[in-house]
Formats: sequence, C-alpha cells, structure tokens
Amino acid sequence: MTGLNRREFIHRSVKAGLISASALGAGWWLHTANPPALEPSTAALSGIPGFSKKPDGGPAMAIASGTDRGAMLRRTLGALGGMNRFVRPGDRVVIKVNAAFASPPAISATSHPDLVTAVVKACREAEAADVVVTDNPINDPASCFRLTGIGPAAEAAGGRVVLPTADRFAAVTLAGARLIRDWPVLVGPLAKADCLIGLAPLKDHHRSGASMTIKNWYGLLGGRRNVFHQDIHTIIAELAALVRPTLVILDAVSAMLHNGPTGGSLSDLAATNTLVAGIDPVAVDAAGAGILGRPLDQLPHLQQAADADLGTLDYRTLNPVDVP
Amino acid sequence: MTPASEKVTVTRKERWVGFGVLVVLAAIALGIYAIQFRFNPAVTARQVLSESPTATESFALEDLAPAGMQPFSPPERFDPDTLSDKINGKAELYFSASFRSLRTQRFVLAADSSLWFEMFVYDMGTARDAFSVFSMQRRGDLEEGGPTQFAYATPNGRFLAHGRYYLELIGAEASDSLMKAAGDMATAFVNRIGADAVNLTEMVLFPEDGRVPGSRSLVASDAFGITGFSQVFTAQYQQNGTGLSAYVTRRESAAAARSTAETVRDFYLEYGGTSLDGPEGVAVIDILDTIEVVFYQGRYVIGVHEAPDSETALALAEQIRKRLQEVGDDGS
Repeated sequence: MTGLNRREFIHRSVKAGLISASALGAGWWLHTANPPALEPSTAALSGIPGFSKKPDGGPAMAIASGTDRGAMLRRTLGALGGMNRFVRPGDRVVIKVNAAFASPPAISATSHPDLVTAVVKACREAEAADVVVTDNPINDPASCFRLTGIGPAAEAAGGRVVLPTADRFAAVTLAGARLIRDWPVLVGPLAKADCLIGLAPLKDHHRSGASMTIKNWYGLLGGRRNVFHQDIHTIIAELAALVRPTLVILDAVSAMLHNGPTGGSLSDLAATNTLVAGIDPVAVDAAGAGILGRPLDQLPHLQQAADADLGTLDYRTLNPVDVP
Repeated sequence: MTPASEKVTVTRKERWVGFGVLVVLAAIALGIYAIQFRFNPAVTARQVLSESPTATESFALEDLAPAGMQPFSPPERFDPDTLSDKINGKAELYFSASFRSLRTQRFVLAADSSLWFEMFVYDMGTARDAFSVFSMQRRGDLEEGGPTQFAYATPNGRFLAHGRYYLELIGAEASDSLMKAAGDMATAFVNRIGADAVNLTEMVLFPEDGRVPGSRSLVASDAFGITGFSQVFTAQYQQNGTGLSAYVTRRESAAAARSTAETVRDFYLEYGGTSLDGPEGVAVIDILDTIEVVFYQGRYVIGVHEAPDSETALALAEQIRKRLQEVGDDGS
C-alpha cells in the first residue's frame, strides 16, 4: 500500500487527463471532414447518383454472337459507338461485377474474368483515370474476388478492386420505395465516379426466375438483405429505379439454365454464345430472358420496371445491332 | 510522498476536478454501452458461426481428405439464420425441406493449386428431406456403383444423399484427378457416417415401364404450384412420345389423404378445369387440354399430372394403386 492521498490522486488524474486530452485533440485535429470514401451516415441518403448519359442518338443496344468474350465485347462496343461514347478521358469508372460467390469461373455463377479483363482494358483505352471493380458478395469478399478470378483479372488489366468495407456503406432511402428505406448501400465507390458499368452473367434464379443486369445491383445492398427474398420482384424493380447505370453488359456466352443462382455443375450450363450490351437495363434483361427461355410473365420485376418507365420490355423497338 | 496519516484538506477546486473526472469516466462507459448495439450491417450480413460439433459432426471434414488433398480454406458452418450468407437465393429450397445446418470446406490438390473443390455437407434432419433436395437439383442419371443409392456425377461435381445428409463436391474444373479425389472423399464420408438405411415406400410405387430414368423426386412443398401440397413424390413418364407425371404422397390418416385429394381436385377445378366421368372415387379433370387424375387409397394420395388423355392417366394411376396394394403401407 503506498501513501497516496486524495490530493495527489487528483493531481495525477489531472495529468493523465491532460495527456489523454492531448491525444484526443491531436486525433480531432488530424480528422478530415471530407474523407475520400463516403462516411457512414446516420441520415439516409435520398438515392444514389445517376450515371446514365443523355440520349445522343446512338445505338441503344447491341447483341454479339460467339465464344470469345474479349472479341465479342470489342465488337459489341464497336457497334455501340465505342467505349469512348460512354467513358471520356479522365473519367472515373466503377464496374459492378457479380462476385457473389467464392466459386470457380467455370461454373458461371459470377462474372467471367475474361470479360472483366476486356471491360477494364476498354475503359483504360478510353483513357479513364480510374477503373474500380467492386461488389458486396454473399461470401467472404476477399475469397470471392480471388477464387472467381475477378480480382486478379481486374488488377492485371489496370483496374482497382475495392472491397465492401464497412466505411463504404451508407443508409439510402429511395423516394416512393417500399423496401429500400434507410437501407445500407455500397455507395462509397460511387461517390466520385463518373460512369457505372454493370457486368452480369445470365443465370437462372430459384426465387426471382432469372438473375440478369438489374438483379446484379442486389450486390450493392448491405445488411441482412436476404429478407428481401420474400419480396424479390419488388426489390429488383426498386433497384432498377435506384441504380441508373451508364452501360450494362449481360454475359450469356455460357448461361446457367438450372439450379441458379449458385449452380455448381457444368451440367447446369448451356452454350448460348451471346453477349448483350446496352443503355437500357430493362431491354437488355428482356433479351436475356429470351435467351434463358423465361417468358416475361414469369419475371414480374421486369414488368414492374417497365411500368415505372425505367426501360422497355420490347427490346426490338430499340433496333439492337446484331453483331455476328 | 505525503504520509497517509497526514490530514489533508480537499479544496473546492480539487473536489470539482475529481467530480469532473468521474463524470468523464461515466460518459465513456455509457458510450461503450450504447455503441455495442450498433452493429454494422455490412459485417453482420456475413456472420459465420464457429464450428460446434454435434454427435454426427464429431469429425472434421479434413479428416476425410485422401492423400494428396489438403485444406484450401478454413471450415465454415451455417445454420438457418446464416444459410443465405452462403448460397443466397437457393436457401429457400433447403428451408422448405427442413434444413438444419451446412458445413463447407475447400480442398486443393497438393500437386496443382488450380485444382480445388468445395465440399458442402447439408444436414437436412431426415433422409426424406435429404433426398428431396438431392432430387430437386438432380442434373442427370443416378451413378451406377456410386457410394450410395442416391448419387450422381457430373464432369466437375459429385452429388449424393446419404441418410440425413446431402453432399455436393464442386470442382473448379472438369479434371479426372480432382473428381477422383472428390469421389474418394464422398466415399470416406459415407463410410464414416455408416449404413444408409433409407427406405422410402413411395419410391417403389412408381412402375418402371415408361418411367424416365432418375426422374423420381420428392417435392418438399407446394407441388405443382398447389399451396400446402407438400412431401409429394413425383416421377416422369414418356408414353407414346408424350410426357406426363405421376405422384404419390402419404398423409397421417385416410381422412387427411381424402382432404388432400379434394384440395388438389378443387385447385384444378378452380383454375378452369372440367370434371370428366371416371371410376368411383377418382377425380378426372380436363384442364388446358391435359388430364389430371387424383384419388386417395388408405392414407396415400395418388395422381397423374398433365396426361395426354384419360385412358393413359387412369392406366398409370391404376398401376400405382395395384403396386401399393402389393407393397402395403409399412410406414417407412
């Protein structure tokens, strides 16, 4: 037992307090109110930025045939007027891939690394200043980006993988929405982006009937989003309203016809040898439904999105460019 | 150092400073208490339970790995609250069949790091439910000589039901050496669990003549889109170039079976079907130019779905009825 009395205790406590206050003060002084990534916010954002470009009279959609994803992408973009039509020099591009599962690329449950490579390269060739590849996967994000091959492909092509860390989410409320209300959304990578490109594989889906470019935005949601499976068509239609991309690309080179969205067997796949790209996600998905063999009346979310004037179901009216 | 016994007068200023220190400490404690409830949803969405072995999970999956295979990722375990964090939209298929838990782990060939597979072990609680999820996702014919009676192989996968478990071993590529290792590991699992005592009465009721190989399935819920029509065994048939289905389901009692048969009959009539003449106690319905037949026998409901004509439907249904009389209801 030491002879410490109350006065000395208080003196020492004050000294300790001053040291602590100095540390806190230094932290406060170094803190910046304008961080590079969006800070978590207690006040919900009203939607997210829109990335669709003003109509310029160019083709709205192109459909390529083949098996070489890189070559098909080049031909498709060429038919649409080139990546320069969508990405201008100095633009910061975000590519939202489907990296949902830590599964191998062979089973086509996720975006194919060859297509990721081609899209990142096309953005770089258009002189994009930054190309971010991101998703909020179902499984562990680092494993998903590694095992799907998406991460290595993106980085080798000049892209930058951004993982969905907690500081990159913010609560978002979509005006008039029933489900997207004060819900965490991966908005960090989008905060300073100029272009948003969606890159989705064509898949069967046990709940929604199909997983295509609009369903791909589900990967921007955080939280316990599986609760939305009980009202899957509504959440997909709301995502169509929430996310207005610059360009969407549907990979139907090898479509998952059965046992989606995870698949697992090569037997679940069919060589449908098609790549669809366009500025109207509803139209692109309507074309995808045809490839998948799903009648549109089995995909109510597409009808809901069309009813909300978010795109057209009759994609033929857009005069899609067929690229042999 | 002031002797402890020395009397010290505490000034008013010191008292307030001491009070302030206590207030700050209390505020920090309150802050910690409050912040612990604010989980970040982006983190909690991927919550994975730690391993908690039960009697049937008393061994690690890596114990089953054959020579030349090694773990490629740590083991994971998911329960009904977290299954969606692993398989997302397909979770509902398992929930409808009384899913209990899932254990997974990846394994890689030591000689080639690009060749790996992931092993999924679903505990479905009962052999019926394990067979249900197995049959609902079946990609091809059953594998002759597989490790269990319900097993099949695809170029990059091994799939099987064994007792209460449904297993998937999904390879990164269609590699012979990888699939050999996957098959060995599946066999090791089967041997470790022990005898497969599955004996599903309904399975043997479907006549073989005209039956599409490997087409027998167990629909856990809402068969043919009929709400509440659960635990229905189905089989596909090809007769004279036309496809049709037969189905059988068992209920707790004859009264329950009759109620179920009436529910199915009423469903088709409600959706525009027309009742046709048929044998006594047998509902024959024409809907959208196909024929539905449904009736009950004892505590079994027997039916034929989307037959091209009444004769074909009634003939197949009668075969099932006779088979049931031969086999009897052993309750398995």
